[in-house]
Amino acid sequence: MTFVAFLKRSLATAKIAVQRELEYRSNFVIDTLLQPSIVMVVEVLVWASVLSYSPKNVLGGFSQAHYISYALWGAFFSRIAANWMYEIFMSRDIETGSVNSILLRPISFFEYYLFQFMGYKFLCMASSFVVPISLFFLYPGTTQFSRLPLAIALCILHLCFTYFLSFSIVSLGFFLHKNRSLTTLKNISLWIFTGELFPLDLLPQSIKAIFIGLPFASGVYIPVAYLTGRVDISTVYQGFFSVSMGILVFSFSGWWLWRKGREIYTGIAA
Amino acid sequence: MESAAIVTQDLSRIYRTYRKPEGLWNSVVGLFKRDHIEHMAVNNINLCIPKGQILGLVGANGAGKTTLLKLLSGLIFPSSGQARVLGFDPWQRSYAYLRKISILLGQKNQLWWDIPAMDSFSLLGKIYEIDDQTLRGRVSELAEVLDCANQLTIQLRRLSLGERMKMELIGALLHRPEIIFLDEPTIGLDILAQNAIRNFLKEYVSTYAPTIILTSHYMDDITHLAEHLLLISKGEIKYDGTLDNFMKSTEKKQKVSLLLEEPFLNEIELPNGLKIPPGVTVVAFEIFDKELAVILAFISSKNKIQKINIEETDFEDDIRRFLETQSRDR
Repeated sequence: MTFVAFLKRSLATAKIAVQRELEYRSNFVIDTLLQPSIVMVVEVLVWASVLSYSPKNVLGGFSQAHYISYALWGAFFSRIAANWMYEIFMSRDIETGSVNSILLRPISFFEYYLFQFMGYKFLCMASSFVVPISLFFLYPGTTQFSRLPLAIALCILHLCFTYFLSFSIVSLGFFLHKNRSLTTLKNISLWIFTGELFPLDLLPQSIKAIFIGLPFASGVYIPVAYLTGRVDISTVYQGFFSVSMGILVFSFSGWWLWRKGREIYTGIAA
Repeated sequence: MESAAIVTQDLSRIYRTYRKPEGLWNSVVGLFKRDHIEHMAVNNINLCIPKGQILGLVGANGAGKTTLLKLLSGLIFPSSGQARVLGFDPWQRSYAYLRKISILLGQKNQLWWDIPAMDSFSLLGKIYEIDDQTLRGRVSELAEVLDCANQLTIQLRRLSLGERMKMELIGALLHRPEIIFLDEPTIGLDILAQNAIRNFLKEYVSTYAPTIILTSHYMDDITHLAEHLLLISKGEIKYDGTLDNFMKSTEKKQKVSLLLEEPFLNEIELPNGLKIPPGVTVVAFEIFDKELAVILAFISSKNKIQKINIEETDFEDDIRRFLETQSRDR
């Protein structure tokens, strides 16, 4: 197979995901615009309330403007960084045997879903980011707009990492048959580890160092903290490094689990 | 063997599962301890299927038909034994192999549910590396024969079962596979749709001569399409030969239906051992040709027959009888 053929196939797979999303218009609007907007509003209100009780409107060394800017971007970055929907699709394919139709075509399950996932996330990003970018012009806060491209680049690399992580969890489905509880567990953990729930710099110093050192922080905390002036470029480099390491670890575990899982697979429901 | 499309040697597959006695308490016990059992789904299968042959794979539910298809298509690994399909180890799933085969599962959608079939075909074109012009040509050719060109741009989920099956067929044949595994291709379809699919497959085979392994519970599918028959029961091959030879080798029976003037008061045993229960006026049974005269004479001597209907058993009856005998003999 030539690289051109691979590229065409990948683009076509990503395109299918975009077409499928656009087929259901209301779902698309709620998913990409309404849902993160509501999360953003709630977080802005929470931080505004918390900081109104704090002397000089400062918490952990950061001002109210820092927190509101963090909430404004955080909700949208976390929408991009999360991968629960495709993980559920993939797990369901193994649970119900729909994976069979992919296994019998000259394309790997990994590749098939990776490019759909990327296509879907590209669509999400292109539509969701309209909201924080528009709001930035009304309320710049502490946002440093020139930092946005690097923040997005880190988030995209983190997206690859979450896909590798998801692939390992999904491959466990061959052994466990039902693994939705693992997806839920992972989602709840990521809610905290990524910094979606609160900025990680509010944690005690020793715990904070560990959390920021993990690849998960590069999904929300590091890119948003960098964008809103809470951390400098060295933390972003650290993020790129830890995410790359995470990809290495989970690419190996995913490959191994998939290989072993396929050996015991019974081709259910075919 | 150069001309063989599929060769297997002692191919077996064991499934491991567990038994759970009914009830809540046993579910709780099952959290800690499970009674695992092994089930031999296919057992030492040896096959040699030449290229271009249409093979009907027939057996009761749970006989091992689908497991054999799954093994040959590379979907699952065998527990022991070997198979070569077009010179490939199927479970290695090499792309070169997957480009040469196709599987159609009548009970499963393989195209994308939320988009029109034409969009699915475009993606399949990229997956199988078919250029756009060739792809469009093949789609319109197949759609014309299947009379479904108007449905190509309608979301798949909005099509009827028969229309969806036609789309699945197009999707399965786009890359001109050398081997096609058809698992219940007409299941759930009405008679017209069944006929349309059968006629289409017949025409397709005469044009492109692929090797086809067909499983179906509709014996019409087998008699219309297959030239070679493989009967499987409890994971073992019970008959491997031509359809004609099978028909010749099976002793014909007659299906007899009688309407008696009045029911028997007691159970009546016929000379061949069959029994007619008391209190019924409609009686039906199957008997060999040679027994017909004796049995009818026997019943006439004891009761008045108002109406009689005799017809020769068909292929489906012969298969059923063959498999029942095999099952009893084990």
